[in-house]
Amino acid sequence: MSAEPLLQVRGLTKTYGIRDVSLDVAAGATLALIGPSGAGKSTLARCLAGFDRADSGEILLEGRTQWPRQEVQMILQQPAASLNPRFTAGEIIAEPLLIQRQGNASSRSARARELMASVGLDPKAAGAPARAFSGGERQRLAIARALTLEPKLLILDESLASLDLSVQAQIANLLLDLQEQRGLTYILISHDLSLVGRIASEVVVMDRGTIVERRPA
Amino acid sequence: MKYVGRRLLHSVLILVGVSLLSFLFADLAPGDFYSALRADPRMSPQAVEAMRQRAGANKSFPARYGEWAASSLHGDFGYSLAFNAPVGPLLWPRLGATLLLTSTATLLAWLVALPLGVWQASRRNRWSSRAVQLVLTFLLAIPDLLLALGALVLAVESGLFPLGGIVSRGFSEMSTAAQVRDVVRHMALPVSVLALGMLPVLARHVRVAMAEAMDAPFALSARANGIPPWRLLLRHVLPAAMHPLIALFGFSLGTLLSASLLVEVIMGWPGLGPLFLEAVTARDFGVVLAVVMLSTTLLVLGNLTADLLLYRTDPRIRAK
Amino acid sequence: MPALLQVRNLNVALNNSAVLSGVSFDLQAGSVTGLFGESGCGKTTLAQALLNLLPRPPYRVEGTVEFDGRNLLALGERELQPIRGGRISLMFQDPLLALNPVMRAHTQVREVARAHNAVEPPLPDVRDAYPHQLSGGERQRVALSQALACNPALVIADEPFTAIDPARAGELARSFRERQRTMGTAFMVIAHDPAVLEALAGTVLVMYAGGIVERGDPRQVFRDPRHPYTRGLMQCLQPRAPGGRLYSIPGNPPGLAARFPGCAFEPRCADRMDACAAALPAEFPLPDSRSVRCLKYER
Repeated sequence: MSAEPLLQVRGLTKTYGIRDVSLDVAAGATLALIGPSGAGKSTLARCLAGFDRADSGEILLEGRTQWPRQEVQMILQQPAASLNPRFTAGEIIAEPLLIQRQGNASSRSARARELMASVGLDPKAAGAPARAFSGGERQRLAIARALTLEPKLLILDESLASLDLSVQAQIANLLLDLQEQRGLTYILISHDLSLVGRIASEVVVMDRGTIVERRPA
Repeated sequence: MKYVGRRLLHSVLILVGVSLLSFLFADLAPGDFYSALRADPRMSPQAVEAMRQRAGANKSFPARYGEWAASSLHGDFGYSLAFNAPVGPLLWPRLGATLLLTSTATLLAWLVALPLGVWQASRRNRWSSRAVQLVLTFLLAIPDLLLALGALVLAVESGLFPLGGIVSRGFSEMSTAAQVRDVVRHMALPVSVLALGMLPVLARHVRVAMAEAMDAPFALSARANGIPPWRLLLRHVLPAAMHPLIALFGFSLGTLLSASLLVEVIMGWPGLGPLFLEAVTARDFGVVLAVVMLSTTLLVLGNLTADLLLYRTDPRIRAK
Repeated sequence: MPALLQVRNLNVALNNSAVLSGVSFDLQAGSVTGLFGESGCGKTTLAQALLNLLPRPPYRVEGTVEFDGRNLLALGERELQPIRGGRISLMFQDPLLALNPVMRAHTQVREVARAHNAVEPPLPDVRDAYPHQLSGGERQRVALSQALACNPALVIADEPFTAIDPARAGELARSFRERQRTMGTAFMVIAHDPAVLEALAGTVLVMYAGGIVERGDPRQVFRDPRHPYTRGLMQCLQPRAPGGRLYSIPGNPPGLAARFPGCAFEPRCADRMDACAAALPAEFPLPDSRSVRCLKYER
């Protein structure tokens, strides 16, 4: 692991969200963000993912103030919310490539099948519509899609929350495997302290818009 | 309030746009009122041209449009060349007759469709509602023309109903009660024909909207809470199903003028229908445009009413 | 003392697939019973079956649900209406879906009371607004008020803690306990979080693929699980070695169509024996009022 943190946040503030948040995240870490509702976890996540702009402060990814959008990806709690049920699995995973105009139709579908295999799904099911997959499988699809453009940082906003215990363990293991293989860094927002204890490397506690505590998991 | 303001502005813009386009199309259509005259060998081309000149047909488009728009806002709607009079006064009695017919028919159709649709939704998959469905489909398949002709045959055979017209001779001498009875007798068949034509589609929409709401989780939850079936249907499910139905109601208001054309012409009801037909045949654009504008105005008002009603009744829209 | 609710041999099938098989249990008055299981195990179907809410043409229901001396599964809609919401309430999983979108919160609670000719019910501590204008926790409170409006003897809560954050979940659990203590209301709580059931329930029923595989005091069932499935699940919750992985039960739960005679967990079970696939094991009793449906415990 390099000494330079992957992510540096300095004095980030957004009205009605977060106040003067500063944070360093080392490459390859799994940082858990916990706290009550309204603590600002999602606001912070959205600013990091580029969905919202903070009012003041700065965010540095590998020392840069600007970076390609695809280097930070976010995965939400309900896969149903982010996957169009009528698109096929292959289409959903290849969509980011399509938007970025990378490759052609056959290279994109090959990549989609490759990613499906890497998240533990049968590549032959690439032609099935999203609604044919179970909750856990859909979350795998969401992860595969997030990996398409080879991000450096993945933000998991309650991504494991609605899954059954055994499925949760499977997906958590998948995430840990992917982290090792691809050198990913995770920021995990979760209410589930037991889960946090089992997979995070460190924990940041937020309350009312600021960080109140930081400790190893 | 902002919502209302925006919708009103929107409606006005539509009206202006339609008036411009209609005027333009009328202009672009080959021939005009005087074309028929020109074909008449007794009239010399110069005389026809002179008549056209006098009627101002050769002025520029903006000038003519402007004149017509101004006249419309006054209620005159331009000039009818066929009747040799301002269009306005020709329209109003006809408009009244049409509105009387269609609003009664629409009201009747809704009054039957609503309970019918609700009842059908509550009795899904039973043979009674399937039978009713069959009858409605059959009704839907019968062309309005056939219904109208059938009604005429009924009138002739039974002698109970007058054939055409809105009032009988000697109307002005009748007592008020007798006058009302007279109009009702004249209205009965045309209203029935119109209402029967509208009924199947309305009933189906009501049934589908109700069925969807009845399948929703909140309906099961209400049932699990012990809400008795009729109260569940009427107080819980129906209000939630109203959304698409209100839009539909607004639309049916909007078609009040156009729906009855066929029926009026065939059954001899003195509404806008026959007038419109004559005017189109005679290329009397003054009347044609006026009827188009009236129709559009009503359509726009109908949509506006639907939007406003939706706004008032569905709290989810207000949240936006 | 006879149980408040007695379920015997409840079998529910949908299009020739078994959704619930041979479910039997007792609920005592004033107790809190937990129902623990993962998606697809039939928990929600069970909750709805108890109040005879499952539409009979697609579903086939057999067995008995005894309440107040009558079999609820044999009653018609008219006879069930005073019981539903009046003596037994069902709280649905997602309050946003379970509440009428065009009716205000207080009205919805009053409607339940009105349906049973009850007096003005205690209203939830939320604004009298429409469901979409309220927060998740507020909606949950409205749903709870509806469930308690007529002071039922039993409240069945389907995953009440799932859609809300831990602070609200704690509040809700406390309301349940409070209610149980002051009014003697019995609860059946469906949840997939063992910690919550340990804190709340006196008995827990562990479900897998439509059947009950283990039952007992949650503190014992979760800390000393006996059925291989329960054991597997509890192991998933164990911390992992640094750099290691979490335990996860190999395979996936069987879908509806793929259920065969014999123990449903057998394909994934590390302790499987040949006899396991042949026929469904009986429930074998264990000390401390526990029991397990597993051949390993046959005497």
